[in-house]
Amino acid sequence: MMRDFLSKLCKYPMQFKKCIKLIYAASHKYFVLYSMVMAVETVLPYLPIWIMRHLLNRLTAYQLAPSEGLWPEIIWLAVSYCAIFLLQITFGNTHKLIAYKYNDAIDYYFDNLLIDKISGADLSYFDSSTLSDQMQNASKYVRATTQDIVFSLFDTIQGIVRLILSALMIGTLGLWTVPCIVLLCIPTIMCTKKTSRENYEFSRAHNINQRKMSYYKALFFGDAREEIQLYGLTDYFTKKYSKEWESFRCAKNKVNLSNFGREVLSCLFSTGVEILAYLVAIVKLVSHSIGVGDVTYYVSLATNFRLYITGIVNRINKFDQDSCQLDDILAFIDLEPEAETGGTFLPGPNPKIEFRGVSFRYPSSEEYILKNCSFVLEPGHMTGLVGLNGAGKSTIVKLLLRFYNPTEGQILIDGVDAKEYDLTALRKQFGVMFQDFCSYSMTLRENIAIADISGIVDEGRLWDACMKSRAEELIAGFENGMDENLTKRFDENGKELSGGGWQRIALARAFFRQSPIVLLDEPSASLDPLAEYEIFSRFAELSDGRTTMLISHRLSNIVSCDKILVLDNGTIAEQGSHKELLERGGQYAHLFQLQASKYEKINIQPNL
Amino acid sequence: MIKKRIKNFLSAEWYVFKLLFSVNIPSGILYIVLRSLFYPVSLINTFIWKFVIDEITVVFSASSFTFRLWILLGIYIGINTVNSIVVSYVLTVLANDIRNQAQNKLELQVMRKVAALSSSYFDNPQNRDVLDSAKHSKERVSGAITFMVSECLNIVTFVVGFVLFVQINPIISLVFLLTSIPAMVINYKYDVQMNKHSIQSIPEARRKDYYRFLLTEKYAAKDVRLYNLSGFFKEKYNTLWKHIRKQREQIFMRGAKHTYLAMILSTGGKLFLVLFSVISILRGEMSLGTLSMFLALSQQISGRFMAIMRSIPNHLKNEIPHIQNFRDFLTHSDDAMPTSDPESLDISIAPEIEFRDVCFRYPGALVNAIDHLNLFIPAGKKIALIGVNGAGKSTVIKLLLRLYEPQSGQIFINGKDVRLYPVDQLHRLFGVCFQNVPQYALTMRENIALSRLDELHDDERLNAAAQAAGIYNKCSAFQSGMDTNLTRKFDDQGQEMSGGEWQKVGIARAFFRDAPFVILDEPSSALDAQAEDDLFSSFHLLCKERGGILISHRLSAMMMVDEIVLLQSGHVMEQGTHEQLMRQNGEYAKLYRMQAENYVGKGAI
Repeated sequence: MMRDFLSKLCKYPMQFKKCIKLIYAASHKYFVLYSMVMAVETVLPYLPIWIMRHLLNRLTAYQLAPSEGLWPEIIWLAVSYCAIFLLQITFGNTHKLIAYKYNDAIDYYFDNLLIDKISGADLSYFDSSTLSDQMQNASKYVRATTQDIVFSLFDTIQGIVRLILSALMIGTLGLWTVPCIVLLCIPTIMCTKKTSRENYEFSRAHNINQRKMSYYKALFFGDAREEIQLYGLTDYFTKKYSKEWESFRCAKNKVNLSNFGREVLSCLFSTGVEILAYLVAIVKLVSHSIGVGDVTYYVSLATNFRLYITGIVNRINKFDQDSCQLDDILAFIDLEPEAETGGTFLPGPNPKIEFRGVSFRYPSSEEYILKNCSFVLEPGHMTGLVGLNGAGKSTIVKLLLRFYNPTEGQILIDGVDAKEYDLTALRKQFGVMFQDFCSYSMTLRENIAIADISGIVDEGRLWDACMKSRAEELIAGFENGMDENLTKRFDENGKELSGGGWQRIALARAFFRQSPIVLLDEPSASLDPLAEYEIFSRFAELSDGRTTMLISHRLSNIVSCDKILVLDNGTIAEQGSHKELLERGGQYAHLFQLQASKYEKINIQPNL
Repeated sequence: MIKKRIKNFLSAEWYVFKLLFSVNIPSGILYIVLRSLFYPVSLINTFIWKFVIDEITVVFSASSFTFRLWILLGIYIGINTVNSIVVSYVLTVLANDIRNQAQNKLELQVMRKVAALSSSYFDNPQNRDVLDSAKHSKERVSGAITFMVSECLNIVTFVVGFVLFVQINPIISLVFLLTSIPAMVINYKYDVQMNKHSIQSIPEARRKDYYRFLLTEKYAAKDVRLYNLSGFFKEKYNTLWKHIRKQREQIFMRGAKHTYLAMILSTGGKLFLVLFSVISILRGEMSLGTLSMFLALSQQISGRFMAIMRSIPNHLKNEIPHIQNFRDFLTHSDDAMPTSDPESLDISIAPEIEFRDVCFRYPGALVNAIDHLNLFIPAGKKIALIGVNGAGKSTVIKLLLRLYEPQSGQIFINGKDVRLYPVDQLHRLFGVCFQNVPQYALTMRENIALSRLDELHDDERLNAAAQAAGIYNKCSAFQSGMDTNLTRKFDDQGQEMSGGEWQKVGIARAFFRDAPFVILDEPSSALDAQAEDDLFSSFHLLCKERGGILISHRLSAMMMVDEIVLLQSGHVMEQGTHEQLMRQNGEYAKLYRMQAENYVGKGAI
């Protein structure tokens, strides 16, 4: 136990040093100012006690033997008592001010640091469970942790200094009192430490109760409300809620009860310090070795000492927790991105893309999602990609955009490995409609121009993209045209769109990008048949000679592609034109027949 | 007007006060008793302290111990110790527990109430504030429970302390009070400004949070990387932030400047107090103890006053409106609640459904979502609802389920107005897969069986529903099978699923309901060709004897239904079997040909 204690003791200076370095980096100016204020504030509480001591001593001296000579000194002490009071509240106020500004600076500094880190991190961070947890925690706690660490750090240092100062000052009553005080403090320290640890463990263990409780409540305010009403799930969820609550409360009561005994004990022992101070001071008072002012002085010191001692234990514990959390955040910030680096090659005007023996699995998993895939996207050609759910279609898109690097094999662009290319320039080659595209609570203009923010004021380009994706029908109903706010999140008059409406906007984005290559992942899932037809019947014309890759479950959209790739379980099972694949009679032919047969069954001529 | 406001205020106050006893009367009483007993202790102690000091002076001049000193000291230390145990521990724990219990009770009330309200209540922008208060009742209502008690005690203690002060020495106390008033006023004004600012900047802060969300969460991660948006979003984020910061800082600085001024004034008061007492002591008119008492008393009184000036405006401005909103929420009643004399509904056979001239408009919308809709679904028949995006397909379902009430027209089930049936019985008729399938962070078993909780443990039926929805293979591959937790929200071993898989879970849920009428709203949008085909066959198979509504853009699925209804702008445009509609050669035939064209070639139809 002793060794444990010592190693912990050695740990603190290192931790202090690291934290100071960090918070110094956030703002030099406020760090210095704040340290200065804290330094002054450390000794400030001793001054009024000290002055009051002398004032009372002089006053009693005067009462015992009145003499005019004492007057100036007494008045001077009284005035300086008030001056100290002013100093104290001024410093208190200044402290608040500087703390506020420092807080703000730290918040800004670390939040920006983290946001830069996250927005620059590999996409794989979001897919890996451990990394995304780490990232989410860092993002959630960065503010509280960095701000807390400043205060718990300074408070801890201040607490230690004050504790030593107080002990030394009480020690002037007689050296032997110091060990007595220390002995009396030990139970208090141990109790407080135990309590503080139990509280921490409690909140860690029962955090999940709270999280579940808020989840169940949130269900009632979210998408699930309709199901709750329809299926009468209220009782089920309220019961679950109550169960979590009961378990939370039960545990809380237990902790409170076990803390109570310790609380009383520590209170009694720390009162012991006060009693000791009273006894010694009064004995000395009777023998006139100290005055009345001295008694109040020592008693005040003892009272303060009692407060400091419980304070310091809590602060050190807090600092411990904060610095652990800070370590987690730093560990995340120090991670180096992998895929998000590129070479210097710049792509040509209309690049040819080749997958050569590409295999891929997520770093954290053993299971291959793509196995030895080879195919070519010829410039200006339209390629269809077909496969069942989970066959790996979206992964091909992710690899093309270099969100990930292939585990094995190469992606060649004009014969050069994609890794050699400048990443930004490479991504500029692609206009993409993702399957899980985003619906931004911004204006329609921003929603489309997000694909190329530099063109946000180019009306011609915006309209062109809207016409191609049939989003212009939406605009017809908007009073503010392109500048209509979408969603009601920030604007009560904002427009809510249906799934199909959003899909058209996402499609407009891909056209707006004006890139040589267009990737469309399930562009028609929620489009109504009319919109679907109007877009895809003119698709060749719309894509305007660009290289296009189209992923769709609706095989009718794919029929006219120059080449169709069939992905099965991570491998390219078939490739060829629609006609070739039908003749081959493989998986594609099967899927196509499945859909087509529904349309062939009844072939009814209109009444003429 | 003012009378009414006061009345509202008092009733809100009374409401939270009652919460103190709502769950547990003894602990509420215990809280009040302990609180009242210990509130004035610090005030009493300043007086005892005076006697202690005076006695110490006596001991000092007499150079011998007195029994009185030990007694006084004993009382002083004893009171202090008990006080610190009771106030800082027992009372805190007790108050937390009461708050916690009341909160639990409120949350349960909120959840029950939400489930009882119609959906239009939630869509109505006017109810936004009320809903917000209900959503955050935890922070905004239960926090105020102990306010009344402690604030009343605070005021009483302050008045008593001040009166005592005046009686002991009117001049000092008055000068002291006068000089501390400016500080209090400044503090108060500054608090009000800060508050106002924080309310005003809420929209900005929400917007700022939105950009942070886009930058840091998975949602927009791909766009951010592909389109190089981090600069664009970050600039917006930081601009908003800087703006909020600057405003706050201005108020803060202004407040601080005035605070410094006020401090000098209040120091003047203190100086007067100290000098006056010191001179009185020198003249022999006052004891040392009285000086100590004055110092302690003045600090206490100004502290209490400051606390009152801080908490009461905050309570009035921030807490009372929320409490009032919250009560409005709990007492709100829909006009559309079940009638007193409900008809009974046979929930074992497929219902006959009729919409007769139904009109419906969403709260705040400009046009009718459903416009003079007439629709008849014979018992045991299945229809398909088709139409362009926004034609009102999903709204028909919401009206049928009575999630919304039509503004005019009637809906009949088995020939009687739906409003005559108890809502819970009506709901027993339907198994529904909504367009946005709710994804519950529960087990797979619960996720499927939520539609029929009484059969939660009927594995046979669970497996059958999973099989029909095409998710059975997935379930059996899980290590814990049906009892695997979905999502990793509460379980690190939980399974994350794709959009298509969630859709299948939603379908399984609708099938598991085993209701006489099945509704599937765009169930196949995320499914591949094979899964879609399987789904439509199982829909056909499972719903043989049942009625059903299928909403889909896949016109190939129309073979599964008895009748097709084409909606446009909220009313029926075409209706009939596939054959009839094709012969009619209207809109449906056009849409159908469009879709079929690429499958069977242009010339074929």
